[in-house]
Parts: sequence; C-alpha cells; structure tokens
Amino acid sequence: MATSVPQLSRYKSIGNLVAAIALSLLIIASNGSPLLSQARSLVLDGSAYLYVPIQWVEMLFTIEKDYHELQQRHIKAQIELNKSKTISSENQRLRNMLGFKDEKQFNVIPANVLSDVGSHTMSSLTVDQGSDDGVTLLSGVVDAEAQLVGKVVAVSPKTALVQLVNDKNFRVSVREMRSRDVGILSYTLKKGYLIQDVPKNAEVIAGDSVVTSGFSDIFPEHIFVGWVSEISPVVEDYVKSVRVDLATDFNRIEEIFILKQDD
Amino acid sequence: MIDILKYSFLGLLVLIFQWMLGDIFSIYGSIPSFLVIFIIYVGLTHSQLQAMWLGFVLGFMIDALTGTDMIGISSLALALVGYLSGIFHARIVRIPVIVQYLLYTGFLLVFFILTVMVSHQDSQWATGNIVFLIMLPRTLYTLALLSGIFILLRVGAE
Repeated sequence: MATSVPQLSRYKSIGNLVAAIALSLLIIASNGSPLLSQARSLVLDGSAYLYVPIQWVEMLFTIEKDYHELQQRHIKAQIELNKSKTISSENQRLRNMLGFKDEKQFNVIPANVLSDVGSHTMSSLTVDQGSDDGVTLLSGVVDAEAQLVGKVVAVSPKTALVQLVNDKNFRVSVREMRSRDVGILSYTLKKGYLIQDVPKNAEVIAGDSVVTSGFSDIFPEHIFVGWVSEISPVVEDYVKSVRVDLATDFNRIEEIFILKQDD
Repeated sequence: MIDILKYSFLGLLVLIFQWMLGDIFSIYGSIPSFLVIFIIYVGLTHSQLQAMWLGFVLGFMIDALTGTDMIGISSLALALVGYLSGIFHARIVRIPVIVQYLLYTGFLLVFFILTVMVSHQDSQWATGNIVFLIMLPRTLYTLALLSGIFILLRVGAE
C-alpha cells in the first residue's frame, strides 16, 4: 500500500523532531566537554564583534566625564593608599615577627562589559578580555571599587563569561568583619543574599561589613561584599543565617577587574 | 532557499535583541523570551521544520551566550515548541481565538517548564518559589507580549 504525501510529511517532521531532541540531549550530556567549551568560545567571540561599534560610540560620549571622575577618584585613592601603606608596613612587620606566611598577591586585568544577561535565576556578564589577555577560568572578578562581582566561568581567546554573585549557582566564603565569623554567601530567591551556617552565638549585628574570607583560590581576603541587613530570627539547631545587602550595583557596571593570581 | 536565509537572519536579529536588550524589558527580574515568540511565529506562519531547527540553533546560541550551566536545554525547548507550533501551521486561522490563546499558553509553558524547571532542579530553591516567582510570571509576561506582537502581525486572524 502506498504511503500518502501528508503521512510522509508527518513522518519527516517526527524524524526531525527526534533528531533535534537527540542532539539537544547529547549537548546537555556533554556539558563541560572541551568540544562544547570550544563551541561556546566561538559563539562568545562572534558576539564580541557586535559590540565594537557600540562601545566606540559610547566611548566618544563618556570619555571626558570618565576622565574627570577618575581624576577625583585617583586623588582620594592616593590619600587612602598613603594611610594604608603605613598600616600595611606595620602589619607586615608584626606578621614577620610572628612568623606568618606571605599572603597571595593578585594582579588585575581591566575589562569592559559587553553585555549582561540577568534575571533572578541566572546572571552573567560578557567582557572583552579573554585567554589571550591572560584571563583564566575561575578567576575572581571585582568592580572599580574592589567590590565583589563574580567569577569567570567560561573563557574564549577574546572574551570571558562572568557568573555574577546573584546567580543561583554562585557561592563564596565570607567573613563578618567585626565578629570575624565565617559563612557561605549565596543568593536565594525569596530572601536575597544570605550567609548560611553562621554559628548561633556569633555576635553579628545589622550594619556590620562583610568581606571575602580568602578561604579559596578564587578570591583573596578582604574583598568588600556588603553589609549585614538582618539576622534570621529562626534559629535552626546550632547555626543561623544572616541577610546581606550587596555593595555592588549590577545595573551600573561598565567595567570590571579580573583578579589574576601572581605565579 | 531565500526564505530560509530570511528567517535565519531574522532569528539572528531576535537573538541579538534578546541578548543585548532583553534586560530593558525586565519587570521585577522577569525577562520575557522573544526567541520563543519568534519560533512560535515561524512555526505558525512558515514551516514546522524550519521552526524546529531554527529553535535548535538559536537555543544553543542563547545558552552559550548566557551563563547557564546546562547548555542545550534551550535548544531542546525551542525545537519542541517549533514542532508543536508547526502542527497548527496554516490551520491556526480556523481555530477560535480563545483556543488560539490557550495553545500559545501551552507552547510557552512547554518552553518555560523545560528551561526554568529543569535548569533549576539542582538549586536549593523550593519548587513552589520557582513556579510562582519565576516560571509563571515569565510565561504570563511573554504571553502578553506575544499577544501584542501577533495582533500587530495579524497572526491567527482571518
């Protein structure tokens, strides 16, 4: 019996659907493979070219304003630096006396933000510096005020993809500056930024500053994260959670700094 | 052939629009998906096969451009939506308007269930929160935009 044309067309559609689903599942199963990372790099690099003319026009309009702003910041930073130098040399002398090891040193790679993709589920930035410029996977990222922004999760030769602090998968070890308690900061849908697993008896109060703890190779110590806004009233077992207001304003980020650990 | 090129080019423009300017349309963190609207449009007015494969390619590209940890999930979702919308290709005008909108809602739910629910299966967030705070708002927002765009383009009108 001959197969009719509509039937053939339906089989063709179903065949194509099965092929598309199979390919998609294959891609999902190969997440993290070098081939897929290369494909991602290719798409990211291609996208970077779209931003070249936009950035050029933007720069024309903002360059003078940026220059004056930077001049002001430079003066303020210079004064702070002078203060810090005194404290730092004293701190170094005391550390040497006590026999502490030297802290890790970081360099920074400045990068312009090409695009940001954000919702309250996943958040990322694409920046115009890639592996050709020395960016490596899982490098920490801060903003112009050295406040926590995120970490690099994909690198191509010309661009890098930065996972922001408000991504559902982002975790960072932080320290509350006054009480010196340590916990893990993550973003939750309902409560915002939370430090979990803080000891029940930790003397944390609203307004305290929160910085990175330095317990990882990604972020050095003392990167400013934000301020404690609320302490959870419900105490579960022997730990409590602390709500944090993040210092970084993601809506205004135009350039970021990628931390590169010294060899 | 020209049609394939035309829709591929249009798809690329929609992808760039979604990627570069999607945030402008954010309401309380809810961003609509213009890509799914485009794929439904191609499926309903043009060709099922093209909608499916365009959905697959554009889905892969948007996953690669965003920070998702599950590349390929949008390919799967958009290809499926392309197939489903293509079933009603050329027949959509004969379907009552209410049913048309129920179909659009169904297509969007398929897309958002796959992209939002599956990609959040490993998160610590409660399912109710993901459904009511992310999936449903995004579905309704995208449906509202889809309705406006389809009315302008006279999709589904006799």
